[in-house]
Amino acid sequence: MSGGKSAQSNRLSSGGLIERDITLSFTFDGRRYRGHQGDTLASALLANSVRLVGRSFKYHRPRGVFGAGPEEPNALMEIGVGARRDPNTRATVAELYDGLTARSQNRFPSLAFDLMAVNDRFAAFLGAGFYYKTFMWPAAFWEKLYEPLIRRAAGLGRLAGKPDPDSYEKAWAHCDLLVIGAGPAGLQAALVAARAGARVILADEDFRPGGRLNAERAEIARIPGHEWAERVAGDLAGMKNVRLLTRTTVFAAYDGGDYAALEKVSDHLASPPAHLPRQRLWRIQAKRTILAAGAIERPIAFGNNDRPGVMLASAVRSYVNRHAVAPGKSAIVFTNNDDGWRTARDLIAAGVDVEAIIDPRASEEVGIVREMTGDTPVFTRARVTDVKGVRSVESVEFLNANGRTVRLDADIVAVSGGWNPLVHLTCHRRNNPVWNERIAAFVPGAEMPSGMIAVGAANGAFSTHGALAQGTEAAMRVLNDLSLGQSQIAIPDSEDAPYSISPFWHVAESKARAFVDLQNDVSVKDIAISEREGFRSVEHMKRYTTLGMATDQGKTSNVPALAIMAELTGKSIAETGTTVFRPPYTPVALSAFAGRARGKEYRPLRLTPSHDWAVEQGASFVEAGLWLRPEWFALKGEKTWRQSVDREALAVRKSVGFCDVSTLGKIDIKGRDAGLFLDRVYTNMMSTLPVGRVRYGLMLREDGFVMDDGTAARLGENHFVITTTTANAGKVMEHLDYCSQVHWPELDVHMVSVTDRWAQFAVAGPSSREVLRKIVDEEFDISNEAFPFMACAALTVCGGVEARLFRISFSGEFAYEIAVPASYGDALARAIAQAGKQFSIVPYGLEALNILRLEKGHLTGNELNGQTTAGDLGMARMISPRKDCIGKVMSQRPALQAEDRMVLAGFKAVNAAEELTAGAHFIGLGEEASTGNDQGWMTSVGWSPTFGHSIGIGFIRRGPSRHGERVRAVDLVRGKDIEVEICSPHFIDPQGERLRA
Amino acid sequence: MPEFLLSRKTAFNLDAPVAEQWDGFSLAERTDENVWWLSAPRGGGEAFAAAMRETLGIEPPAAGRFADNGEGAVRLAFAGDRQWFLTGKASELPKRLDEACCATDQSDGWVGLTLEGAMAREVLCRLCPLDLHPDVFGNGSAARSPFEGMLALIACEDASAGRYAVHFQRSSARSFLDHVRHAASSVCGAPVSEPSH
Repeated sequence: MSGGKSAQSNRLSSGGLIERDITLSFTFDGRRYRGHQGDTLASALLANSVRLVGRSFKYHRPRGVFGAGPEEPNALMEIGVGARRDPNTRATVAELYDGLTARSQNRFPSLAFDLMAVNDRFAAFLGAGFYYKTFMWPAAFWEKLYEPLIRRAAGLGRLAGKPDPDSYEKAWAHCDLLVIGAGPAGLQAALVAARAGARVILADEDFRPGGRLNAERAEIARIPGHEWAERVAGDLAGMKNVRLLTRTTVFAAYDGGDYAALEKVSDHLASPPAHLPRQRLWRIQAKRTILAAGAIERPIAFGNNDRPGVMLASAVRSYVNRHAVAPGKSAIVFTNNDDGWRTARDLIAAGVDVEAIIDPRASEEVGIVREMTGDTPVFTRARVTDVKGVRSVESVEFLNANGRTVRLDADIVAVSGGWNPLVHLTCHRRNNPVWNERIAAFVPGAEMPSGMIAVGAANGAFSTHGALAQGTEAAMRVLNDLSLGQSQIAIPDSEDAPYSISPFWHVAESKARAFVDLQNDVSVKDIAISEREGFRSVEHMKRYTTLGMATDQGKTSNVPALAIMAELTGKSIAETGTTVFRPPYTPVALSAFAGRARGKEYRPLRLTPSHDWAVEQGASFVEAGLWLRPEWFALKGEKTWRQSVDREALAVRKSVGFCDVSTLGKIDIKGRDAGLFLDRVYTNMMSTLPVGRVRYGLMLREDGFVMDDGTAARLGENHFVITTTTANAGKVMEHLDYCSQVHWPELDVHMVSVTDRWAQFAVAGPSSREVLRKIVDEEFDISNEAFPFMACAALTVCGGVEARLFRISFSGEFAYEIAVPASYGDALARAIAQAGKQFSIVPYGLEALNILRLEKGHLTGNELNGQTTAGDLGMARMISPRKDCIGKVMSQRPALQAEDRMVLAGFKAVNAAEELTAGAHFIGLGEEASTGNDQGWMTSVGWSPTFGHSIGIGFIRRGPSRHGERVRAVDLVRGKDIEVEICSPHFIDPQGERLRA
Repeated sequence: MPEFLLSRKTAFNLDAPVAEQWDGFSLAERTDENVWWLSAPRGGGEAFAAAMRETLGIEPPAAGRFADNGEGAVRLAFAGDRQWFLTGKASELPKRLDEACCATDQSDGWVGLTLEGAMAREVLCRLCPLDLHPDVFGNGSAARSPFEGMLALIACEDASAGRYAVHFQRSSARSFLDHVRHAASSVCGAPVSEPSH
């Protein structure tokens, strides 16, 4: 930032809402320019006489700034450098800051000389539907030739192609009243409601509250409108019950008063503080909403109406009045309504020559504005037919009332075809806007989103007084609805000129192309083609011509286009209707939706109690659900993960290992009916389980398929603790809660997750008891006799620390699981490691655990995949015939009992050197690998260091009766076809002798 | 004498509680606090209320509220139909209370932070969807709420001072703390104290 004056040839010497003392330096296509605080990039470019700012999407025609707000179809730029480069940024809403770097897009090699502009020469062949008709054959060319070529030729900006270095965040806000838009209606509504004590949120996409008041010369309460806006905004900003959100676009209206808004927190800062997010996504919950979003001016389509210098008349006023920029030296105003005349008036006041006002209406249709423009030549019943000049408007041809073509030199054409209320947000809940003949525009329909009231220009009230009055009235209504008292604020004095318009959409006499959608290069002729070829519905027209797509979503083009379609089909505009408005109202970066949820913060992480200890041991980690679990613990010299995993698994088989298994879901079940309750949710009987014993259990869904497995340990007469798989912990808890509250509310049963409360370690291997003897307090006997397989107890360890001990094994090895309160987890891990040193104890990770369970034929999520029954898992006998349970009846459906179902079996390669792959399908020897010959699939595989070859388990038709038979495991994805032998899934210790040792 | 002695670690695996400061906001880990989950049997609400009154001097609160015995040492927060969270200095429960409900010690399962300061509400609105305006969530309010993908129990201790007690699950403590820190810095600028780890 620097002080002093700068050479900005189009900058007016006085006026405007810019800070002339603060000069900002920026570059566009490598050239350095200067602007002022308060400028947008567009206003600063215009101040520096930069007219050519972009190339059009399809024809690469030169384009200039067209609007002054979010509707801008032309001035799309890449802003920022490196990873911060943002494509398709509308220069009209990009706030200028010192050091801003902008680059034009969609041109080669330069903006001034774009080779792709050759497209414009062939425009006659590139009309609507061109792609669909031309690239029909050969079909193979579409993907490899046509589409890449078309994509290269068309398009907008380039993504940075690098990870976004900025941070984003989300926030919630609640209010009595959300006011969308800080123009006269919104400011007045917010003030009335806030003064009465309502909690108000006022959001506006601009960095300066005031809306059109900042761009007009209107007065409110006998002071300039922008000053009134500044005062009111200042008052509101100082009130504790008001949250004033500038640079914030409310872009979506959802159910029940929920709105989404994007706040650009630091986009406008040259060097944002590190702690600030770039953008913030607000989720606003509002009891009532006042939509005061204003209106957007629409153009009239005439020949070459896309040349740089053709601008919306209201945009010209914005640049003159707000930014003190004269967009050119001489202007022609083409308008079908009174508002365009105000542009002529303001241009004259700013010293710009207005060569003519051209109005298709009859003289008597023009309102009092006629008096505003002095002796400026006026041509009524006239229309502009063509614009001469390529990179800038040079002259304008029009038909006068006598039908004679007149040519006038000018470098600006300020065009106004009327105003479209911004009904977008009123339609997100599928409310259809309705056509209002008086203002020739769509206004909000009757089925507004719940609690929303539209006011001001958004509601078709185009005078300042109308806006203030509707804002006041709506706020009073809200106060009344919410019983929040009343506010004594009068409606301040302001202009109340009537709005006079005669609909006029396009100039039929134009011979040159007349563009309706500047962003997508859709002309009046394209709409006619669409109509001729049967695409007459506005939705079909949109898809056929691409009108209304891309970043501006047809903000200036939709209504003129459907009016032209109505004209072609002979229907009324009301009958023709609009396309559906959907969120977002303006483009929102995906990063903003993600907020902090990306990279390592994509979701919260859950850490095991021994996490830090595992880090110290050099563990590699893997995400298991939300948990971060050690995958293996590499030792120095181990070069591959397999070396580490093999060592860990073998150590467990030969000596002892330990593993943090705190991630398993643990649920305390208490109450007089706890046993009965568990009988009903597990397939097997739990109520008969003696205190101090553990039982493996299977839980079914209502449809009879297996939901989860785990253990139930009875710690007291009315106290069980059950375990779930890590992945299903939440689902099982929900299921149990549902059963308790809905199915059997009469049972006295209480359940609570204690997963986080206990640090639990598996200590597995022949020496595990010796290790635990050093940990468990002496008074507790853990000998085989006193504490056999499937025993459990509450006891103490290390001198009185509360603990739970379970003689259970997932590894298939002689093993225990020991649990202590989580705050002791880190210390217990260290103690076990120390206690096991003389037995060469090793920590083992998830991979070794998986190998160990696979050798034993134990199940995980790969097998409990929601598609398998107890029978499929070889556990049909676990469904107790003596009682009912959830899923039992459905599990007995004939199809689930069929003899040829795919049932769990083990698999080993005939050639022991081959490695099996999970996901392979089983095909008979000599059969074709086809769906019809599919006999099942491999669910889990691993290299067994115990056996020295690859093993797998999976489901195959009539598996248990086919042990010894050979089939092929065909993996078309990985290109493998391996002959395998079907065997028992229990590769190791099928009789369970190790477990009971 | 046992061969090994176990020492406790905080949820952040530190020896000392976390305490950090921003301009207008502070966070402090709640120490020496027990957490109990209490569930009264169906039809046993009255007996539970009587036991609670007579043993700990607390009137069980209505939905969305917490109550204490006036000294603030022990607090009971509504957590669902016939369910409460008891927090405070209560390593053991009085026998009569224990008999009137099903009690589970969750002291090591849940972690508490005190969030305080003029900007606390603004910090919290970046983390949880509750409306924390004093008119809606004033002194004595308590609610379970999603909190950046986690679950939290939030209680308003003093709306005018912007003091809230937030409890959450131990395993996600570091993610939780990270999110609070980030939100605090977004609202208040860089911290004025050193991070606890």
